[in-house]
Formats: sequence, structure tokens, C-alpha cells
Amino acid sequence: MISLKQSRTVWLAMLMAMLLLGYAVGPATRAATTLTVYAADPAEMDQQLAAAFEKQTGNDVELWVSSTGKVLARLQAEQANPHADVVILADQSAGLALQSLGVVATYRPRAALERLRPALNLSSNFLPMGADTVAIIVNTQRLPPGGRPRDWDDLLTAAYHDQVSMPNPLLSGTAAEFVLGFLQQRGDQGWQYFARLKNNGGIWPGENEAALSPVQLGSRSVLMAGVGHTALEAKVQGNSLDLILPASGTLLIPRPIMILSSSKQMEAARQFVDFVLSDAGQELAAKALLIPAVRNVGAESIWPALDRVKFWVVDWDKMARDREATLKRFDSDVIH
Amino acid sequence: MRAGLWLALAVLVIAPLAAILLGAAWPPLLGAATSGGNILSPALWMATRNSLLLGAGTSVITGAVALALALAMEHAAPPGAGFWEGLLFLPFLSAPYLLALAWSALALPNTIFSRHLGMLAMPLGRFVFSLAGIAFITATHLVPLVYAMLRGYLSGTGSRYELAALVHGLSRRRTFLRVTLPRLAVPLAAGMLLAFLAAVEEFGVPAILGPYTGLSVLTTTVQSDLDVWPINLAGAVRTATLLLLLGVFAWSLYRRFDRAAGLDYSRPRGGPERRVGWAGLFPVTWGLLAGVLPVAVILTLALLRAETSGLQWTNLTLSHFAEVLGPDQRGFRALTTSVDLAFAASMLSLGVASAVALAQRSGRRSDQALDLVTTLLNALPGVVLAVALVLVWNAPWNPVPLYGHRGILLLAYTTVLLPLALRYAKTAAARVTPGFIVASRVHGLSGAAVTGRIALPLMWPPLLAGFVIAFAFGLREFVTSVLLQPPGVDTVSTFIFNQAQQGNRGAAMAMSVVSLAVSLAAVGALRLMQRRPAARGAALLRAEAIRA
Repeated sequence: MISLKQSRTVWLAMLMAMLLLGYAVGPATRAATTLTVYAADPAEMDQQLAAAFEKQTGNDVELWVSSTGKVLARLQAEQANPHADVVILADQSAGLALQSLGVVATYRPRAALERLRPALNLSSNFLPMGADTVAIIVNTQRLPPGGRPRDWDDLLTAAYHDQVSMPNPLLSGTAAEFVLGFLQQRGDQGWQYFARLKNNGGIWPGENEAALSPVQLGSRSVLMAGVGHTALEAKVQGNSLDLILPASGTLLIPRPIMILSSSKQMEAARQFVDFVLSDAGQELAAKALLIPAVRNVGAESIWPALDRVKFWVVDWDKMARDREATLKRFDSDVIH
Repeated sequence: MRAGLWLALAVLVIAPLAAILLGAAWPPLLGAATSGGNILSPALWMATRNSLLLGAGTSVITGAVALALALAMEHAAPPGAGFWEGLLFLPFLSAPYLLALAWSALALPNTIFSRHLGMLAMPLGRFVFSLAGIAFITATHLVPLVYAMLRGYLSGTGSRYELAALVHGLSRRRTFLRVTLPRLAVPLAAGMLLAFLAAVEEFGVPAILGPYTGLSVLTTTVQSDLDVWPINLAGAVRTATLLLLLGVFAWSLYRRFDRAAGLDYSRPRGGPERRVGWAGLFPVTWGLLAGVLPVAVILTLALLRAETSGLQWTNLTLSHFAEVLGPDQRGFRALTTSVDLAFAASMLSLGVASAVALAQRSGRRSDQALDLVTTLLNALPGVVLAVALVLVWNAPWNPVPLYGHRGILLLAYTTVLLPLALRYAKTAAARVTPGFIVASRVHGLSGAAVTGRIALPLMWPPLLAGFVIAFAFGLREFVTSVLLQPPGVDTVSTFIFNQAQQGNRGAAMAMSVVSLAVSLAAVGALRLMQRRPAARGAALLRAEAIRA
């Protein structure tokens, strides 16, 4: 009996040891410098950026792509022992929040600053790697050209009763910034706006993608405050969607790229940021349908003409301060 | 042996559980400065209430449907029963969040699908996005589990009691009410508790369907605590502890029923008298409604060039599949990673589970404790496990750099699959009776030969079945993958999540279809293998498998 059990143990132990060894040894062959990047971005673009950077510098890039919320959550869960060197987020106030925790190393080289679009040159200790905007996205099969909304207030009319879907600002970073920016423009009337939107049958089904889904399936005809590049990507795939940039203006949202002060690869991290902001890097961002951060690289032609769009002038620091209270109020007053 | 086993369990189970309980008792351990709000906040209270209602509703629906299915298949199986039975297991193999996605595409008003439903569309929409609808869809996923338990019980005991009752002059109706129902009550209660437990821990279905009507449950609360800035780790852990307590409570009740039932699945089928009847229509209808319909919706979404253009021949394309299956594509790498991980983790968890099952037979008190430890695992939701694993493996005092490395996923998958593996391992261990061992030792076999030539061949069939089922589960593992995914590693579920999030739903759906096809192929291969030696019986998967 005893030797039977022993042999069984040996057998199992060997099997396990082999499997674990395989996993532990697997990625042992590494380049001299391995840069860890956490990004809330289109995954294909990040991979292209990483590959091009690896080719140019010989450094290795380990990439983790997810959503802004998950990136921040992971950074907090890891705070005792940070892993990331460079972090790219999808919205400015998340970047400012990270900065206020004191974990972001200042990196704003003059060469890059001079090339930035003026609207993206904001006070912070990091740079934008590109930008996006929130817009009204319509299902063009459900809405004939004459019946499409032109501004935010159109969505309160009877024509759009039970037609509007919007990302939940508690789950979507870009929707949160839209709400904060919108309230800076309109003050208390902004709150009335959202109450009326709810009375008009507006829904907040989840993250950006969850809110886009009913519009894509034809159940709703309008996505309010939808992320620009995601909708354009769906349009490129052949969906009958169109982007409307409202006449009264909308929010231009910088996408921060930052270096964590805990990084042990400062030099490589700076090189990576420089590369992302170079013409080659910015062209990859444009190809992923983001708005490039630098002036001399234009956005893809599927975008509406951006120089004719009115972008709100907002106080990002105030938005960051107001964020928690505003979202709490949005949850209790509007959603529930 | 014992020391090694305890060490494995310490790593897989005890360490994460301890981290969670310590974190709940003392939040600063989690790096949380704030207290994180009131423990009895109205939102948490609502979520608890919804979780309990969801659990209760799911367990009632699951119990009723599984009972009807088991009786219909036992007494009035439709022609081609094997095929229809296979179909019944389809929703068990597809991930719950996919079922939810399919039903929401069907039920949202005016979608490319619901436009074809006519009068049905409105009530269906109201139903699917309610708590009852969430319970129903969760139940479609769980029915096969409880059905397998009931069917195993019926096969084990045969229908001699019913025959006796009929011979003594009871009507069929009264035989059902006075004989069949009472004797099924205990296994049914066990199955319903299992469904309750699974529904309370379910994350995908309420996460997809709940927001339309503002419903949140405990698991989605944990998720938003972890996922929305500013994240609230202390709150997440507190809610998670609540979930754990609920789970332990339901599981301990379940164990009591399971023991009382004294189920013996290993006896041969009693061969009840069969007739084809109208009742046979029910398994057919259910198989089509709960299995084929959602999978068809997912497949359609994967084939559409553009969702907005709806169901037209010209709008169909295979390009999304090319994106997933093309060599050197991200999707293909994610698929191979998941296959690797699922393969290794099922082997590991079955190894540990077999060791636990064999050790338990000694009856020593310390070995009974093994059972308690692995039992606790049944009550540990994936979200909680993910948080616990970050706490343990990214702690500055932990010298093993597993976090941020593929190995963390292997560890998480192994832990996630362990309860499932244990069910199969117990069945397997029960087949190696001491008589076999003694007889082979008496005839001069060495210890190694006994293992290789007697014990393993005996244990092989249930272990193989367990391996295949664990593999299918590992392939679609969602919660821990999304939360623990190391840089540079994609799995099937993170690929689906990221593609859907970036506006490329076709590729996400194509990947779902491909991974479901891989699981189906694995299960199909298993059924073929089991059919060969007729004595082992095709009923093995069904009858021996799902038992604690």
C-alpha cells in the first residue's frame, strides 16, 4: 500500500514539476531592457507601436491592453509592487487622478510640446499621445438624412423618445468626462438636461460597447456621447453608423501617455514616449482612427473636418476635483 | 505525500482564502486608507436581495425543467435520444455571458433579430431584462448539470418502485406523485442548491442584462468596485466575503442532501420500459430553445459583415473567422494560449484532485480536513479569487515572481477547475477498491506496476471525462483571465472582451464560436472514446461525472 502511494506521489509530482518548469522557464530569453506598458487603447495600434519601437531600439515591450478602469484598478492593486513603466489611458482626468497620487514622473520635452495641437497642450506633467472625442452616433438605416439630430438638445424631443442610448459614466471614462464637461458648460441646467433625457426614455446600459450594441442591432437609433474612434471602426467594418459632432460643441479628450516614477527603465520609457509622439508613431495612431496629438499628422479622412468643429474649453483640474461627487449624483439622481 | 498535498492546497486554496479573510478583517492590508463606506448601505442591501432572489429563482426554474427533462428522457425518450441528449448539454458548454449576449440580441426591441419575432418581441424584451429573465437564462446554463444528477440517480435505481406501485394498482398519476416525486426529492434538492450556489456566483449574465433596468447583484458590485475609478478594494473584499458566506451556507446544505441521497451512480442502468410519447417533445423543444437558438444567434453575429445591415445573404462574410484563425493573428495566438493553459490546468487540477480523493479514503481526521478545504473552494467566486491572487502573489514579501507572468493564470485556472476536477476524481477513486490492490500485491506486482496497470486503468475513464470537461471550462474562463492577464498574453476571453470593446464585435463573436467548437470537438471525441468499450457505457459522462 505504502509504496503504491509513494509511486503515485512521485508520478504526480514529476508531472507537476514538468508543467510548472515549462511555465517558469518559458519567457526566460529576454532582451536587455524590457519595458512594461499598460494601455487602454486599440490593441492593434499598441501592438504596432510596440513592434516598431522594438525594431528601432532593440528593447523589448511587454504589453497589457485593457480599458481605463481596469488599468487603473490594476495599478492600484499592484501599488505595493508596481510593474508598469509606461501607462496610456483613454481619458485626461484619469491621467490627472493618477498624477495626483504622485506616481507619475514628469516628462514633457520641449521638442514634443512645440509640435502638439494647441488644444492638447494642457497643464499636467505628462503628454497626450493622441485624442478622441465623444459625439452623437446614429444608425443611418433607422434615421433618414433629414431625421438626424444636430445637437444635444434635439435628443430631448419626441422624435427621439425611447431612441437614445448612452454609456454609463460610472463605467465609461469618456462618458464621465463628457458629463463633467457638459456640466461645466451648462451648470444646473445640465442636470435638468439629463433628467429630461431619462424621461425621454434614455438608457445607460453599460460601458461604451454595451451602449453601442443596441444602436448597432437597430434597437435604438442614437448613441449619445459615444467614443469617436470606436464608432468609426464599426463604420469601417461596414456598419451603417455615422458620427455627428454637435453644433454647440463637444469635448476633445486627450489620451495621456505617462511614465511611472517607480519605473526602473526611465531611459527606455522616455524613448518609448518619444517614439509614440514621432511622425511614425502618430501615423499609427491616425490609422487606428485616433486624432493625432501633433499638428503635422492629420486625422484619417473618415473623420468629419475637425477644424470646423467647436470643442469646449474646459477646466480639466476642476473636472478631476468634481468627478467623484458628480458621478455619485449621476448614479442616484439620473440612473436610479 | 500528505505534506506535498497540503503544500499544493496551501498554494491553490488556503493562501487566497486567508488573504481575503484577513483583508476583510483589516482593510489597511489591502492598501485601502478609507473605510469604504457603510457596510449596510442601501445599494449593498439591494444587491444582496437581488442575488438571493436570483439564486432562488434560478434554482426553482432549473429544478423544474431538469426534473421534467429527466423524466421525459427516462420514460418517453424521443427517437434519436442520444442526439437530443447531446443537444441538452450545449448550453452547459457555452459560456453564460454568451448566452446572455444572444438573448439580449434577440430581446432588445427592433433588433435585426426581434424584428422577425412579431407579437412575441415586446413581452420577450420585458422578460429578458428582468430579474426573472436573468434567472431563466442562468438556469438554461445550469439545467444540464441538475439533469445529469437526476438522470444518474434514475439510472442507478431503475424503476422497480414504480413497477411495484403500478402492479399494486396505483394509477400513473398517483405513482408519480406518491413514488417518483418523493424518491427524487433529495437529489432534486441537492441539484437545486447547486444551482442556487452557481446563480449567486454568476457574473456574466447579470453584468450584461442587469444594466438595462438598473439591476445589480453582489458579483457585479464586486466588479464595479474593482473596475471603476476610484477603485474600492476594501469594499470589493467585503462584498466578496458576503458572497463567500452565502456560498459556504448553501454548500453545507448541499452536502447534507447529497449524503442523504446516498447516490450510487456506478450501478448499471435498470432498463425501464420505454415508450415514445408526447412528453418526448419537451426535451426536443428545450434543446432547441436553450441550446440551438442562442448559439445560432452568436453564429449569425459572427457571420454578419455589418450588424446594422441585418439578415441578408449579401451581408454574410467569413472574414471575422479569418481574423481569428489566420496564422500569426492575435486571435490565433490567444486561442493557442488558452488551449495550452486549459490543458495544463486541467491536468494539474485533476492531479491534485486525485491525490485528495485517494487520501480521503484513509478516513483519518487530517484527511477529512482536506475535504473541508476543497469544499470551501466551491464557495469562492472567480472575482474574489482574482483579487486574492493579486494580494498574495504581488505582495512585496512574496519572493516568487508569479504575478504578471503566465504562471499566475495557470495557478488561477487550476484553482478555478479544482472543484470540478474533484467530483470526477472522487468517482475515479471509488473504482479502485482495496481488494484490487491487495490482490495485485499478493500476486507479486510492484507498487509502480499496481499504479500503472491496475489503479490508473480503473481510474482512467472518469479522469478522462473530468479532463475533457475541465478543459472545456478552462478554455472559456473569463473572470480571472480578464483581471489577472499578464502583459503580452491574450486568452480567448480577453480577446473577446477587447475586440468587443474596440468596436469589432464580429471578431469577438467569431472567437466565441471557434472556442465553443473546440470544446464541442473535445466532448464529442470523449463520447466516441467512451462508446468503444460497451461495458463502460456512453452514460459515463452523464452518470458518473457530476457528483460531489
